[in-house]
Amino acid sequence: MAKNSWCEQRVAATLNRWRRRLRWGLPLLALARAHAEDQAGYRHEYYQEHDGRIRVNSDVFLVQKIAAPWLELKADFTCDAIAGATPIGAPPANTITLRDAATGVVTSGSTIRSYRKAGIDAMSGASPGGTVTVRSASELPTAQITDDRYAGNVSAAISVGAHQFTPQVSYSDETDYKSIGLALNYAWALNQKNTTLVAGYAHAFDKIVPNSGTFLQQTRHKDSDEVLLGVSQILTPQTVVAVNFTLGQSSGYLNDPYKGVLFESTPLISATEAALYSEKRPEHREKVLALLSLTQAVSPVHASVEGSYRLYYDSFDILAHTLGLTWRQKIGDRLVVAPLFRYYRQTAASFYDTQFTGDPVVAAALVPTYYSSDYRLSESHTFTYGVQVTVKALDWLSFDAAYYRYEMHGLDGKTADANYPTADVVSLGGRVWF
Amino acid sequence: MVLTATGDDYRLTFPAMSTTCRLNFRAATNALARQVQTEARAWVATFEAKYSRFIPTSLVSRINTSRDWVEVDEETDRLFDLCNEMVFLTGGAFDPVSAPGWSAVERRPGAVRLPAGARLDLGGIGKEYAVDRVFNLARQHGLLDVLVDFGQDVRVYGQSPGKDAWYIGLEDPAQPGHCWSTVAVTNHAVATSGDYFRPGHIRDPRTGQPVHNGCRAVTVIAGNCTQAGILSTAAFVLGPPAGLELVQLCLGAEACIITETNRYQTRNFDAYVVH
Repeated sequence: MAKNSWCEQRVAATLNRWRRRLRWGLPLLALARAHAEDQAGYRHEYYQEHDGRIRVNSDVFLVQKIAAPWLELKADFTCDAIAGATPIGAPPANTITLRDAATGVVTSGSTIRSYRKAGIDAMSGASPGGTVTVRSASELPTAQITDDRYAGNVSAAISVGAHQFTPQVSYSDETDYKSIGLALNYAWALNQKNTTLVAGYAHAFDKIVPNSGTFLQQTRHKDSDEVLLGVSQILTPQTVVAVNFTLGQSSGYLNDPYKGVLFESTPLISATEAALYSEKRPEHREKVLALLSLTQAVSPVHASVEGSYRLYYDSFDILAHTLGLTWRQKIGDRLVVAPLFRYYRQTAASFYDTQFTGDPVVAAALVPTYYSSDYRLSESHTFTYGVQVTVKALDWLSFDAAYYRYEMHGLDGKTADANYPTADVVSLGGRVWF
Repeated sequence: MVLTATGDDYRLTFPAMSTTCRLNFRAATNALARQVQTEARAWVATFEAKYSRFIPTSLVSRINTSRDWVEVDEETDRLFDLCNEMVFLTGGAFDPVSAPGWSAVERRPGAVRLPAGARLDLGGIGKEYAVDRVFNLARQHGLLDVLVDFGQDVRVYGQSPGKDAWYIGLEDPAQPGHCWSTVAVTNHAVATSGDYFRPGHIRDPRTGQPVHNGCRAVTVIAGNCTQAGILSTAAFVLGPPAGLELVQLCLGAEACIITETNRYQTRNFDAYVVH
């Protein structure tokens, strides 16, 4: 999460969680590798959302050392430079309704051109505004953010016969978000290594720090736990199937500190200026995930295809499905081309809306218990597609390049389309074995 | 000009002095609110016409273009007395007259004369002075809870509706429009000087050159807005630690200086910060 947030639970946070999720898959991959070797790698990734939205430049360093036949050490370090505009939670002015708390009379908020955090009566500064402003009633209010994120991860895979234990420590550091993660993964290869059972536990200690643009006045904390159980089965020499189940919970401050919400009955600060309140999510979240994947070798054309399905449900009432398909085509001895397509669809959180009734001060009785206008909690779907190319230039040297496009669209008919980003992701990297 | 009301809380907004002027207050009757609205707007219009250096017919323009004595009224005399005092207090870090500076200005009761080549610019004091005058106007009408905000120079009295104070966000020079912190004040003024929005526009009167001492913004909390505005500009010119030492000379004033690499503040500034 992090800054951002008038920023969103920004991209860094999203990437952070995404990467953390990927770590669950590492034991499977590690066991599947025929010949582990010492290696080092570097990758630069450029993520750019359209229309001046978030841009992330990432540098990722990776090193792996086989310290002993039974010990494999791995470390990676990531630097993210994040900048760009992010929605603040308010809808475009021409969709805002204002309701007088005393009379119930409804008027339009289309005159609004600026937004100020509720709780602040004025701002002292040297710029002419001191608020988030828009040029027209149809423009989505956004705020500019910048931050740097530094993250590291160290793991040690210890093999004892058919058993492998992988303790892991990770950290992430941004101006407004600090995280330390501990995990222990276990894998058991049996049935002549045709079957692998995996189990894991991870805990994350997160600290959310007040920062420019946030609604936070004091440091808050969040604790997360995840438990994973899974099995990977080689069905035939050409077919592998894997099933994973994850249970998780988070407790503490689960808001995005940069996201605001607009209430119907909040008096305007002036005829053109509205007040935004901090969003309010439950302080506890439980989730369950199931992942099914099937990898099939297509020997006649020197290729493999991997299909996957992921089911997600959480106590925010978000139900999500992800379908993925990756084709890995080997061309000659040194080139692999891997096009990918992924489709993601989710329902809305039970407390999501673009605007809320009442006002926390003048009409508190009408205010729902929880409220958020973060578009990432809305009903939506996302398409991701692209291709990765890997070239093995020498026996000890490979390069890879990838391009992915990410397109998110709303499905509820009320959230402004401008909320949903379209992004291009380009990465270039190299790896050496020694 | 727009006046809106929620119960007995009134909010007046109007453009003037190249910025947005806001006046929030609690009034017993609608008639009183409208009277304050009319008088405040009229006073600001008169003030701007008189002291803007961008209006050719203004008093300041006449002083700047005339090489002879120019007659001034009692209010202007008082304003110049204040300039005199603050130039002395700041050791020249605040000076409303370009080289050779305020010390070369000739004054006599009811008249002033500038030396050749010098120009008077009340830009560093005018808006803050207007805040104080409109604030006094509101208080003279018996208004209890008052906030005057002219382009982010603020003076308050009493409390914001439903709160124990007025909450003023301090703009983050790294991200204009966002707050890096919030202060709670009940009978104070808050003013900030910075060059993060218009780099190089604050000049050191002693050299005539833009200030390049690493300062990004200086916020001063003081008893009135004119004092807060002058101190924030002077402290910006002086930089830390001299800027903080200057503010500490003024009873009841507190300051925070944000530089490119650090943050410095007077001993009691933290007492106003909302934690």
